[in-house]
Amino acid sequence: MGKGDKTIATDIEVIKRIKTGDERAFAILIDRYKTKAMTLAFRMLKNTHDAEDAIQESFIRAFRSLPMFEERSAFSTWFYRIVYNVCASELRKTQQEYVYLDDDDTGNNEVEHTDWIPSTLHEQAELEKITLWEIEKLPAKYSGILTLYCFEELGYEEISAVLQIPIGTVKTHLFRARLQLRNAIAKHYHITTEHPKGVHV
Amino acid sequence: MNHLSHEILQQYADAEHPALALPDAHKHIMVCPQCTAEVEIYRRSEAILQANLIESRAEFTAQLMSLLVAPKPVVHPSRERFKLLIPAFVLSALMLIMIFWNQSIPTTAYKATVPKTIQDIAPSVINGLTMYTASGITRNIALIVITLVILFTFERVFLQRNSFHRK
Ligand SMILES: [Zn+2]
Repeated sequence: MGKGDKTIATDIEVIKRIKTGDERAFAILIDRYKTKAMTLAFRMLKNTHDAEDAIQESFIRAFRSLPMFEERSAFSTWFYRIVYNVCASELRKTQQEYVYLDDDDTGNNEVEHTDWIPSTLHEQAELEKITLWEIEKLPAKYSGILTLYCFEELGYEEISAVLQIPIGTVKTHLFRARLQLRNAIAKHYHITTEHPKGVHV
Repeated sequence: MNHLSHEILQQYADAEHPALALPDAHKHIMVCPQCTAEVEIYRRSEAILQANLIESRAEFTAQLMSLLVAPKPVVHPSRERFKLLIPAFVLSALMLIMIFWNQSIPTTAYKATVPKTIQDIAPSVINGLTMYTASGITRNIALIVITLVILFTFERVFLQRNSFHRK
């Protein structure tokens, strides 16, 4: 297990309460996971309305499947897998690209290095705006894995369990996703060979 | 100068103790502002993603719970009263049948139908029954009324307990 060890006991206690008839205890799990589930769904589906529908569907599925939940694994991993699958299936319906990462799909690999580091508050705020703007524009396959990577309780092993792909593949996909985001951010600073210092937009 | 690859830059950005984990990369980063900036972009953009989570609507949990866990059906009190009236009337009808059947049997014949052991053990019970069968129809009706009163009292208590549990 990874970083999620601390929460397993508590989640499992709640699940035991639900399994023994206290169904209202499921509200604890909803409150605990709705924000991260919403973040994952929003970053994959790109709009609030669809994201909320997806997490509602995910919680309903989780609630109905709780009797099948094996307490050996973390509830978070199991639940994020449901959210991810619901979103992927939603994207499939609308014919959008979603899960599979093609081998040469990192955009421009010949990226220039920059020496621009946001230092002032204004620059930091601008980087925040750009980052959030760019993650929304990334394909779901990148934004999804990158969002999972930013959930502190999920390590490579847990992401591998969520996406149901080998750890080696998770690492490869993450590398590409992070590079894609970095490239998207870099474009805002017009980083080129001639002007490596970058210019603000 | 050859810069570090993005693979190394990402590993460096992730490492808890990068100087120990990636000493060669660390030496380069110490003298290369471009690679330092790249590491910072990875670190900061991912910290931004980590910090900017998206909240769902405030009423999301309550609405979802109302879908998942249906509230106990609220039964109108009159329906419950009606439900209890059925056994009350059945019981009353049974009592009426029993009373008229008993009245159709002469007291001595009725006495003969009671097992001998009971006659020996509880003669007072037999006497009571004998007196009962001999009593008039007014007394029987009074007994039916008492039965109904008992059932309605039980029903009131039952309803109050139910409404308490609903809260
Ligand atoms: Zn360098």
